[in-house]
Amino acid sequence: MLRLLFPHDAIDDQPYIAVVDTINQMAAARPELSAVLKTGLQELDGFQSEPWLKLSPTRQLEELAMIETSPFFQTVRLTGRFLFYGNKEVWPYFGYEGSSFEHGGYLHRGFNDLDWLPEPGD
Amino acid sequence: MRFDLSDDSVLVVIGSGAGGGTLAHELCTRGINVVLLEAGKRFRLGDFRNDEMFAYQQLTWQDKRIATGNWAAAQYAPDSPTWTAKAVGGTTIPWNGLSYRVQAHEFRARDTYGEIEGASLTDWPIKPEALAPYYDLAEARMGVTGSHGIPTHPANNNYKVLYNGARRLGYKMISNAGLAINSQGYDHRPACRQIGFCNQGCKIGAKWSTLYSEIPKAEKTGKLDLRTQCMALKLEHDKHGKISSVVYADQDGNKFVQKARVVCVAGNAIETPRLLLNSDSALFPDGLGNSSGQVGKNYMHHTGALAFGVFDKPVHMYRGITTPGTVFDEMIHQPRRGFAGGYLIEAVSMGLPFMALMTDSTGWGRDYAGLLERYDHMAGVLMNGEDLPREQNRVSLHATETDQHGLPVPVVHVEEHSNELAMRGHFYQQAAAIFEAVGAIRTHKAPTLSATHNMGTCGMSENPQEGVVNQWGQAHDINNLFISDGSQFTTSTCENPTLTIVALAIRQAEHIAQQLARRKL
Repeated sequence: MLRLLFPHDAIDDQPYIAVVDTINQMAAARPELSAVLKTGLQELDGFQSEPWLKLSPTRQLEELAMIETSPFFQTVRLTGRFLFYGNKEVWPYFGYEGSSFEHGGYLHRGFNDLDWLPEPGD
Repeated sequence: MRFDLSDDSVLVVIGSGAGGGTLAHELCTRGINVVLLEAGKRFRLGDFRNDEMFAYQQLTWQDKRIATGNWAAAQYAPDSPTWTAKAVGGTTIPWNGLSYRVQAHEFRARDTYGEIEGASLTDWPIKPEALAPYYDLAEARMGVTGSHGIPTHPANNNYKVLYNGARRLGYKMISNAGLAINSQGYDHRPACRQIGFCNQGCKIGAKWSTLYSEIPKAEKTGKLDLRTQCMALKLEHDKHGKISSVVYADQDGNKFVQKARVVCVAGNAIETPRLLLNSDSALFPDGLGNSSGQVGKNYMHHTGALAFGVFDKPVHMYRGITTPGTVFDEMIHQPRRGFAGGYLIEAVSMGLPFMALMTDSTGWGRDYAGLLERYDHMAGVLMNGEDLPREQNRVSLHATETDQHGLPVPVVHVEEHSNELAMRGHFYQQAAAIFEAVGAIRTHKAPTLSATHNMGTCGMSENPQEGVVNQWGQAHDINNLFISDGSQFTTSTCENPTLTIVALAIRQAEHIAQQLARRKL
């Protein structure tokens, strides 16, 4: 589901799995979260005679769209988004270099290295 | 505690941000004893981290606030409509450093724009000439680039894109002057190293903040009693209606009462009116200083929006100063555009985590992910436009919900005026044109989700029936009550508010000192 919410084909499964692990940990400590997840997963599986995981990606997407406003979908989306894009492991994929203070900032590391436009004048 | 709770000769300043921190320093250098109450903690530079999510939790004022109305915050972030800080230094820790003077015609918004239906425009009771010398002083103390011989910064990647796009489109007033961020060593603080995490606290102190630029100097006078993690709960008054003391709670919830000769409130534009409203009494049933009924009303937060140009070549906009420069051409009042007042187009960047949160707050799937995959090929701009004062846009007290101190939670209600919608539409159109002029494949548009500029809730007025304070920030109803933050703003203007708050604080300190010397306070 996370790979459909935040599809980055060139990123391997590990960061997505890390999100699942964290959400599972959170659910273990919070019964109401656990209930929301269980209900949502059951709803996803209940659309067709086959479990959701066995459907084609197109069908999977259609069904996700149908539950878009549900607490389950929003919980997974918001929590997953926070965790996935907040994970330093994926940042290089997007070209985000993260913390810069310990490297002396960007003063000597390309803060003005854009070369396809002229320097501002006057 | 340096001064006794029973010492009624002290001045109490509530809030240590741009207004309160500057005011406290100014008063101390004039030999006045100041108790400075700050709800937040005192951080050191080493406590800040180049980490957007961590810094948000560390610095943000997260006491409950509720947004209602039709603004983006009510729709997307009803539990966190504002992004201000809770710390010694207040919002001067995460601010961007943009320091622009209000234009002359903006002080006379009512006179210039005329009557606008659905808005409660009035003119400021201050003339621009009266504030000009204090702007000079503020720029010198803050080290604003382009003033007092202070050089501007070299352009970073993001600013190069804005500058070139704006020039090709025909804009003429593009500048990166006006930053309160050191371009060279100044005031015992180093030059900027283009770290790029300005909103997370400047780890080297190159950006001006009252935390390290005002408070320590005030402490050196021996006249400052800074009490941190102390939340002001209520102001008390004597039988004549003069403020007599401040009730506050420490981090353990223990309550204290500090007597005061004068009280200056600088809690930012939500907490300041909230304190006045929560200080209601038999003599002041509508809250302190509220004979006009205007306390909490005319809340303004600027008209905001974001736009990101996506290019087929790398930009790396996040490298260096977060808001590195601005296009000023649209700051004028030109009704032919379809709206009153003006706006600024400010280059802006954010890290990947914030991009994921803010660029498309309801998005998911291929389009959403595809946009983020272009992250290092994007340049960004932020709109900062005037929004109109409206009485129904207001901070009020929730009828039933209370906070950890048992005080009613603030509700912030905003109904955007059609003037703001028209202005925002114009910005989106211009931003796309700027980016297209330098080859953007597309421009992504997004609303701003929370208010970083909060103004107007205890506004200045000539007529005591139209506002809460006079041109000195002194309450019309109560002589020894002052408002010292952006709550004083009569109109929002289109400039980032901090420089004006600092200038007003310097001027207010001078006035208070004179009034004390003449025994008028």
